[in-house]
Amino acid sequence: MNITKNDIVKIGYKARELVLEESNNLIIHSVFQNAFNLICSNDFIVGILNETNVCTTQSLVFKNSVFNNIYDSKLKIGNEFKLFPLNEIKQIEVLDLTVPCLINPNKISRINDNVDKCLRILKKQCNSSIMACYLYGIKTIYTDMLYSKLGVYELNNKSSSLVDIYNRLQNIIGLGVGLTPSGDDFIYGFLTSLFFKYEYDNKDNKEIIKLTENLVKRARTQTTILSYNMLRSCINGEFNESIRKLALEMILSTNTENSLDKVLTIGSTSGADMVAGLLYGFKLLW
Amino acid sequence: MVSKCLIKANSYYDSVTLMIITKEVEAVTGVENAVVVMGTEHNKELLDNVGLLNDETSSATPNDLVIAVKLVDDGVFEDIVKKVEELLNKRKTDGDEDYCPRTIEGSIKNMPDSNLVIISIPGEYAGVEAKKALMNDKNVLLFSDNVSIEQEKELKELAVKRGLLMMGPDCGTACINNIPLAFANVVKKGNIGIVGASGTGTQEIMVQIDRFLGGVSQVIGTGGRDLKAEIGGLMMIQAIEALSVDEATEVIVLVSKPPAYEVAEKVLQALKKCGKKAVVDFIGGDEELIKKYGFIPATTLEDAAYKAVKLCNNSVEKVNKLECPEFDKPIEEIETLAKSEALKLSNKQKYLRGLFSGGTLCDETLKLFSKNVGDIYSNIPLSPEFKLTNKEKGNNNCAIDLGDDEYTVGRPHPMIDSYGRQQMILKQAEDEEVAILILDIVLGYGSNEDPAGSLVEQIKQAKKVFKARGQYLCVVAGICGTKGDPQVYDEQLSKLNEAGVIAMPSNAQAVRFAIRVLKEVL
Repeated sequence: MNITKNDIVKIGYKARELVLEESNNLIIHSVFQNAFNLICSNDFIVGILNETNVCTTQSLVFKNSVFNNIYDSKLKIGNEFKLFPLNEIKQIEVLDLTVPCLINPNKISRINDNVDKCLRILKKQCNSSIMACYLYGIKTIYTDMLYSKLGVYELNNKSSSLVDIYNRLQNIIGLGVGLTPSGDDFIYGFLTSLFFKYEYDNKDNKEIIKLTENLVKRARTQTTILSYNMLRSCINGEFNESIRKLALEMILSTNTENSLDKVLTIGSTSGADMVAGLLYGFKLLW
Repeated sequence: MVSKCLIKANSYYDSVTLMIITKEVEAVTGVENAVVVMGTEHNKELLDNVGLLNDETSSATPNDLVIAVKLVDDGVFEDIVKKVEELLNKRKTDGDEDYCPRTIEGSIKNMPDSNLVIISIPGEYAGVEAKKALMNDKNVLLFSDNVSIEQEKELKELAVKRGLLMMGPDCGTACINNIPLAFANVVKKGNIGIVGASGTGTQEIMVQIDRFLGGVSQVIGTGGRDLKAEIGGLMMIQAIEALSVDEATEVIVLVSKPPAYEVAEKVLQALKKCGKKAVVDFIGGDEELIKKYGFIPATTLEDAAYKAVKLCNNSVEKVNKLECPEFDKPIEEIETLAKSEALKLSNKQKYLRGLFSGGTLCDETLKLFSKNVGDIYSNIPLSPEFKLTNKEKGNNNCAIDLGDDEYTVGRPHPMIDSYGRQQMILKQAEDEEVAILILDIVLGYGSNEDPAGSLVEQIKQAKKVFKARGQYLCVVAGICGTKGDPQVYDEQLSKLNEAGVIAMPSNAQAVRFAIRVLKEVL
């Protein structure tokens, strides 16, 4: 596929790296309405998205018109997909999806107000989000399992060690509905909150990187390849642009409605499950 | 109870599809419980907890889609499998007949023999897509509105240069080689070609031609702005040229709101050059100009159809002397009916209220009323001083085009969805001075599947309110439809009659009847 740098709206760090690796064969893995995935060496997935989607470190967002033209070339699963010339891709600046340096953050009390505001909005998602139901104690077929693996939410002990928290999270890898199961989305949201907390406290994040690596290792065999790749990006402390913005606004401002709405539109329940994880993290860690 | 499962190995479907599958499966009678998940270890543990794990489910891998069901009746499982396969196949993209192209280019590649593109997308994007179609030598029907007039001119000039039709923007009606497109009625095939810069105006002429036992060769829409000075009638002229070489067309009918004088001349010159007989309805426009070019002016849409049918077998001179009958029924019968309706009205009742889904039908009503009775208000007034002062209910004598933008913000057009008109009917019941309600009932493809049925409840309610006050509401409707239309003309008529509505076979007859009733009380 012949492209120019003007065709690409955003590119994540890892996606750029994978695409520029000339020895990498990019094979069409899965195709959806507004996106398709390429798989390459070591089971890395590169998402090719149109502008309606949220950019992650492993995705490349094309202008809608360009995406439609690519899509219309009748993508066949298993076929190789080449993007060239690579020089054009080299010139594109990657989207920074790491946890930023936090300047003049709100006090914890103000952050807690934001969390409570978001929790009230999340409650409306309980008809579809398993993890929102978990937070609100609303019974679903998953409740008993979640209570036994994660603990009853209200009883979660704030003084739990990080190791303990990670152990519990590992128990819900691959659990729930969707290509990125609800448990994985929840973990993703939680890790966002955790990495931001370390930045807020100005702490060295080596410990949580190590713990995340171990969690992701388990995810390799316990969940879908797409979800595994989603969790994999957390090792480097990189999160999708929408949840990153939401976390940032919860810490820096008081106006979170718009960014919350954006996250909630991810997938059909993924966004809500991510928000549930993010707020769980804020409640437990902040 | 029996547990069954369907496993789709290495299958990735977007979450919306998975949610839909879950809902659809759960809705099947005989399904006690359904879970649609990926075959991860923890999901299998869940399935075990809810009694849905079996050997097959146990063998699923994390990248397999598992549809597990608990059934009251084993027999429904095949139905479930069939339903799931149908839903999943809707998302196929590997080049079979389910492929849905995303772009004009993709569509053309997929169907290279096509010669017409119908575009209905938000206006800000529509012009660009229309241009792509024209550049690929495809004729265009552009249903979208909110395309700028500058862009419309550019598109039409391009179409003319390439010898193509650019129908629209805001073109809702066409019928090419007897195939109805967008909003259109089922009519007999024949030798009358229609070019219309007006949607319901074109439909009314089509159906009246059919009613007068004529037939239609082609219906070409141009969009409502074609005869404005800025566009200069580009597409009407293009369409006339197309009909001039169409062997099936012997008589041409043109319909539009009154054009700018110089545009009218250009169009009539093109019609003259074409050499075929023609009837021209510039709805209230300059009749003398039309006669000057040797064509027959029409006084109403029904009249245009009547004269076009007559012109098929008669000379222009002969048809010029003909008048479309005022009513189908004998005049004595009409007068008796009008008098009897008028007698039921109370002294206070003096106003006519028209609630229209078709803009041109509303416009025709305004013209007939103002010519025969007097002042009439509207949201599309004949002159600015008669702009509606009460948009919510109407005021004085008025006819409202409920398809106009201000009434359709955030909701479907009244030809499709009757909600807005239902509410307006009920509001008329609050006004003791209202005497007559006039409605258009538009049938055909694209329209509401039961236009009459969707209004009768509110009509009955409104009549009840008037009765409770010791008054009477006279309701008149013009049916724009044919016996071939999907809504079944006779059933629509029957519903209207049953609700006490006086149904007329054309808009003009409905308006004339309403005027007769009103004149009895004034």
